[in-house]
Amino acid sequence: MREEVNLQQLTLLLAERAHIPHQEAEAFLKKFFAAIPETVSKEDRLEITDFGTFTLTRLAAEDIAPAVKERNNALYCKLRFSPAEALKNAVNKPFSYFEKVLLNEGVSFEGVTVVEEKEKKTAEEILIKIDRDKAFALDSKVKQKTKKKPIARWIPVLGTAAVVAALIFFFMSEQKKAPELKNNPKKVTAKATTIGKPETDSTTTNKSSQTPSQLPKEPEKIQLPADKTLRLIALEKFGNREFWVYIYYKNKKKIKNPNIVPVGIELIIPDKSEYGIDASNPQSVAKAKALGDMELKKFQ
Amino acid sequence: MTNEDFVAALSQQLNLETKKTLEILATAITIISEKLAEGARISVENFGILDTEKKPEHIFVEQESRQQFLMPPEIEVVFKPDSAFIEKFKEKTA
Repeated sequence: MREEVNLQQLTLLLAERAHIPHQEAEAFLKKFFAAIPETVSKEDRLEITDFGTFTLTRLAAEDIAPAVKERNNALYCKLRFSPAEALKNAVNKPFSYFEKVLLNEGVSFEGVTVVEEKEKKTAEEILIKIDRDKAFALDSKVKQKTKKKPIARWIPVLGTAAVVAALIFFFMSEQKKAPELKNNPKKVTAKATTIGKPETDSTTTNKSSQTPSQLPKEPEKIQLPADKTLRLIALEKFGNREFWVYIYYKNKKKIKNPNIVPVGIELIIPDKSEYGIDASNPQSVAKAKALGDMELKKFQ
Repeated sequence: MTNEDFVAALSQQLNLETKKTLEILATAITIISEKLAEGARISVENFGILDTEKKPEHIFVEQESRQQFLMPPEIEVVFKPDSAFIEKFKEKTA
């Protein structure tokens, strides 16, 4: 349960820290919080050192997103709060030692979202509608939280349904092919000759008639021996201990803490190409080290 | 309005010296920052809510260079004004 701090608690803390009477602290905070909307509405911008900046942008109805656009003389304002660096740093103290890491091309991580620069979210904006005749507020958020049209809500559902239908169709057609091959030995022989082993058994399945390149590549699996760690396995498989982090990423669902990996656990060894693993490339090793350090700090 | 102007206006309204107002304001902001850093939500009537939201680690793609960066997690401070704030705001703006 998260702590909720109200004006009374802030007053008590301020009176104690600033060595001022309770009434004075209360009057100060009330005035402070009341002055913010008053000032922003008059000045359009209020900068408070180490706290943040409130910015007001006045817009005409024509400038508003179509979803909230109305044909009237209403005045729209966008209110934005941008926290100051000092406040950002204070709340981000737990992550202060993290740095952004440049990734090699083609590297991807399961469950990590990709954000394009143009999509990057700026500070949240509140859209306020000021109608001179009947004043009412419209709390819709511009851009990020604009109400979706009913059809837009169904797009992800329809997309998923289309993918599922395509998969079902694919597997159904694959299943149909198998009996066809059983009943047509010529076809089986013809395929079998391509790998240089004539097939004599007419019951051979479609799978066995495929060339090795057609077979799906099975990921390598090992059971963690008692005398091995992720680092030792990385050294053995990839030529450098620092690549342990990719074994961890590949098996993240099974490994709760990379420092404590149970003996006998079945581990999937990732393909080198999946994470750009290259022991001869110092950049690849350095990147793996940075990621490894980042992961380990989560468990300190 | 700059911080100096804001402090001057507060001093006048509270009948306090500018120096004293600056000190109290700095202390108040430190308390707010500390509470937000502890993960608390600050809810003030007639003002709104100051809260934090955790943005998980993500891959950021630069538009021009197409370079990809693994970005660490980040905590964002968000402000959600309450209806009284918006009403007061509208009165002054209209």
